[in-house]
Amino acid sequence: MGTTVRKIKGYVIRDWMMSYLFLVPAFGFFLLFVAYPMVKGVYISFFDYSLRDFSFIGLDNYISLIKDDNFRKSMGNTLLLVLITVPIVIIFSLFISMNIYKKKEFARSFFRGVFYLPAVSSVVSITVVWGWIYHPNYGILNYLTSFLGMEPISWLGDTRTALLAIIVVLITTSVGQPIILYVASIGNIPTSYIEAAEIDRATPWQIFRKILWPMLMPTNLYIIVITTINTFQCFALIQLLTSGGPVYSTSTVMYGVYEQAFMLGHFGYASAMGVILAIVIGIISIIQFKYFGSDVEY
Amino acid sequence: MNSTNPLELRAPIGQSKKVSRWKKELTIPKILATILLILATLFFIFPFYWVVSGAFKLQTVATTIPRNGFRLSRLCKTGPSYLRIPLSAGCLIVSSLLFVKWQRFVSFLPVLDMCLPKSLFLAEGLFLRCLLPQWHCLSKLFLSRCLRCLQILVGSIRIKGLFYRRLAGHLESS
Repeated sequence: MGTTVRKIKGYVIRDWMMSYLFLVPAFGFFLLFVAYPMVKGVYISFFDYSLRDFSFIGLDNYISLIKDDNFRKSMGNTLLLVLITVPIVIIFSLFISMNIYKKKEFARSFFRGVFYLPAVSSVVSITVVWGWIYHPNYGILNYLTSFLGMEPISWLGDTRTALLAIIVVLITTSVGQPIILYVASIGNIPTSYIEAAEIDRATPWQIFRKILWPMLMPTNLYIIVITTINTFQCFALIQLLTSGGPVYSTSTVMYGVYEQAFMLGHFGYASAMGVILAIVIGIISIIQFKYFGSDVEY
Repeated sequence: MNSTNPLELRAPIGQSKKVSRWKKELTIPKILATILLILATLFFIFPFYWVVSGAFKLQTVATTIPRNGFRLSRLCKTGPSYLRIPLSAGCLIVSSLLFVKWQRFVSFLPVLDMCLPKSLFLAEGLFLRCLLPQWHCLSKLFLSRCLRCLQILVGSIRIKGLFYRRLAGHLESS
């Protein structure tokens, strides 16, 4: 295998060298703004880093985290959020995509637009509206439930309903991208497979289970991983709707990181929380890659 | 041994039963999926309606429930008389859709709905008022519509008869 050699101002430059030269700017930015903060975050997590001092304490931050009830509660809430949100997002997106992909172009665009609206809108404005909807005194939800004879509920102020209310908002903001991807993926599946199955009298469920679902596996993997990571990193909704309350019932690890770092000034402790969150996300992503990462070719 | 001419088995030309594509494709799962799709669409559009409509109102008006001009409040105030129009229209649409699927069972329902609308609505309203005095008029009417749809879905004349016999009994007793 030969390599092309160029001469620029007397210097011999091979093709592979040119490739790396083109990569340098992007790689530089990656090192500066992604890799360095990550390494620095891990480094800080071994220090008692606050506004007053900066001293090495080894694994004390991690040990304190394990003993911290609030952190355990936050981690539980985060996992619950992921366990409920991700399957609902996948099922809902698939349901909508299966319904709209056969429709005419105008209808398809309309539905895609409607479901993608929350994703392209400002999270703050959407969250403020949902705050109004959930408001105990002038919220539309309580107004509607009053027709069923229900008493007004403080949806975001009650420990039993607050997380559920957050999950609903999170789902509405999360389904836009999966729907777009699913519609595109389903549209790319050759119709000859489906037609052949229909000739063999396969039921719609069999067609979905044996043809569509396996062929959607690469898209599924991407959507599951991305939705899981986004849900783990859910912060703005919680900050704007409940600020982690009531009684830490909606506090997540991401909100905990913010609270420890920017409200209490415990940067080392917050970094340790971030490191643990990254490890959990990494483990879950590996599991997801293992179970959903099989490509199917017919 | 029966010797049948294969040509005789064929349906005579012009007598084959024609089923329209729309009618053929209209199945209950598809109807339900479409209804769910519409409901989901409304659910997703609502916050944007709220944002846009709130943007043109004063803070005091925007944070008042029911909002000025919100139709549901007007319907609530004026009671079931207003609600009959959209709900009966919805019922008629559902009946018509199901009519295509189960002509044999539900063909009498649209006729019944057209002939006796006022008395049926009043009777149902009275029945539900007796049965569920604490419920709001909207929820009662919603329930009555659900019951009607259930009747259509089951497609049984017996249930319909039983329902109206009970209704008549309640009316007589009240």
